Amino acid sequence: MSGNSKQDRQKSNRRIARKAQASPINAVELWEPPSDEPVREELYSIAISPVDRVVVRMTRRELTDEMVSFAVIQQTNQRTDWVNVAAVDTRHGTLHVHWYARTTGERTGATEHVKNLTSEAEVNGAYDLAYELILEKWEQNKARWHNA
Amino acid sequence: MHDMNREIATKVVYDRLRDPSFRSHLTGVAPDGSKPIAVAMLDDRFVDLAAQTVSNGGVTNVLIFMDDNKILGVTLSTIESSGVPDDGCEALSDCTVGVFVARMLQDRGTSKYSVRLASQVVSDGFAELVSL
Repeated sequence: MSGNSKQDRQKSNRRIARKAQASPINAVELWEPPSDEPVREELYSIAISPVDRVVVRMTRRELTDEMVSFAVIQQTNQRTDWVNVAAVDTRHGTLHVHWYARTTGERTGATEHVKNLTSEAEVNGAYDLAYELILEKWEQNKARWHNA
Repeated sequence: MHDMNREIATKVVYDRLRDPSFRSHLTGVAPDGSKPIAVAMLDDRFVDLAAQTVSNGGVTNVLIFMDDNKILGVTLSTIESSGVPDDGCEALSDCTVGVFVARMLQDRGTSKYSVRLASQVVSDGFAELVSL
């Protein structure tokens, strides 16, 4: 009864695990903005102080004004140029945070995954979370940027 | 973000950016295509808004939080300056946003201004009330 050997059972278990991963029940379909509908991008910058601002970039459906994606970016003025400190965005169907380094001006460290987004409603909800991640953590983000 | 009132005001503006009607009243567009917003209180110095308008590339959508919790919108735009301060320049350079708003309301919602910035440069501009 070769089908009952330890090796066969392991093979079978791996097959079941692979099947489960590929199953539509377990698959998470991440949100993607519509590609077949006109959208427009809007850009706002809100001054926080003479040297700090938050930039809000929204992409909205042209017809219904629904927000399909956004980015909220914390910036500071360094030698007359605005540079990124931290940025939250919804690309690739996830809400995540990018961190930047003062010394290089480039991204630093791992991107922090906050949550998966599976619908337009979740993108809208994530806009509130972005406020918490950027504006409520302004000083913490700035200290992190300063030391990086 | 140490100033609690300003922090709350900023949150109000951030939330209201969801509202298409509110956004449509932010008509000041900077050369980079963005709409710069300044949250202001009545006791802020007007000259700081004028300076910000210069650094924004010549325009600011100012949102002034009034004592009755209403928001007053003012679009500031720089205009070509003669470099020579006008009669009211020195007084205006020291005045608060509240005083400037009172002057605008007297002028039926529009007003030219001339202020001396911290750099001693004179900045001339035009202010217009926006209905929000």
